[in-house]
Amino acid sequence: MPITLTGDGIQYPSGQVTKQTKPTVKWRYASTPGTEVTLSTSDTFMPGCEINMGVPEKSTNWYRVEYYSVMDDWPGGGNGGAGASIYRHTPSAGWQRVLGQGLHAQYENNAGDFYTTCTGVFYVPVHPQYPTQEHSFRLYGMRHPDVGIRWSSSIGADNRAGGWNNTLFEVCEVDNSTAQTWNMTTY
Amino acid sequence: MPASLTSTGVTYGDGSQQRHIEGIVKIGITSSDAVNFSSGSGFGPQWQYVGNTEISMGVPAKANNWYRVRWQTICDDQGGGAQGTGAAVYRWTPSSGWNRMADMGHHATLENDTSDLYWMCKGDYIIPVHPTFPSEEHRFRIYHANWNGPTRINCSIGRDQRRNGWNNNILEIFEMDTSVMNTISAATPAGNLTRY
Repeated sequence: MPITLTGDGIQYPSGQVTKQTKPTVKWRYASTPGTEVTLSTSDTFMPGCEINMGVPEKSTNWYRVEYYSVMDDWPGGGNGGAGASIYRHTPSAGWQRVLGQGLHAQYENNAGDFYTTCTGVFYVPVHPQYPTQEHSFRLYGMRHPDVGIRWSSSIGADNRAGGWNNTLFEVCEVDNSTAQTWNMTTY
Repeated sequence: MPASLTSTGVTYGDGSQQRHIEGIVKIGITSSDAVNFSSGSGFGPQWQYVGNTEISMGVPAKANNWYRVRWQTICDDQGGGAQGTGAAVYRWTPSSGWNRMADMGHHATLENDTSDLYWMCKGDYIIPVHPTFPSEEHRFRIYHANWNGPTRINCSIGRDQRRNGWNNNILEIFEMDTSVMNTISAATPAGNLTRY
């Protein structure tokens, strides 16, 4: 089958139809300029890190979710760490904690003052029961056990500008005809 | 508004315009099921396959395409002393077999007896289509080597939410069309990287 221009897109020999420029990517920055986010022992929302991706193009698509932040034990001393969690929302499902790195994916045991970068890439499926609803995503974090942790750290000589505050949250809708998962299933 | 073909590209129904080929040809994703995997405690290269990180990307669309490989996991030193770990990408075609392509080294992440420590090990690699066997299926794997300690990767951690095949690690491979890669010169169409 040759490539054809259809009424609303391009149809390729594989059967894939492209209806818009791809991929759909949206970014958010933590909206806490000059303010450290101290995590608690339960999931804490990173202010500003919520993205509405709208209704997915296909029920079988995936969302590629990525975050990046700068973490500091605060005010120091003791042992402590933190990790991120990803939440998904549809109007019928509400907010659900879908994946989590654990409460000390980055951790040090009283090693003195400690700064590090923390990051994660996650693939989250379209909600199998509500594929025609808007999908939103959020970034949360939690800490363990003794020392406070701040993300989105303000640091001497940093250059936080244009809304960027040492944290990036990015979500990309990926067409499942392009992406193949080998062992991950939907939920 | 129907999609239309113009002199500069394609205009879609939503008004967006595409003026160039889409760079991402194919995406392969997997997550290792080898939770708390350790590649040993000795010195030196001891590359061990990280279970279930094999991805078949099929036959590349072009002989001069590139694969962008991302690997990320969460590590934990187990016990005292200096310990480190690092990741390597292996490529396979039926004729070449498995070859170690790009490698951080066995202590790309390391701590020197700092007491208990958890950290993130992350790598981004740009791997070429095999120049001799571009018409063959291409597969990829992640291997790890440890330095002087039983560092574990793909950690289980309290309050983690590992599910549906995801286990605190991700291997993501994009086949990238060569036309969208950085072409500093025709001879080295990916910046300063060469093919092997």
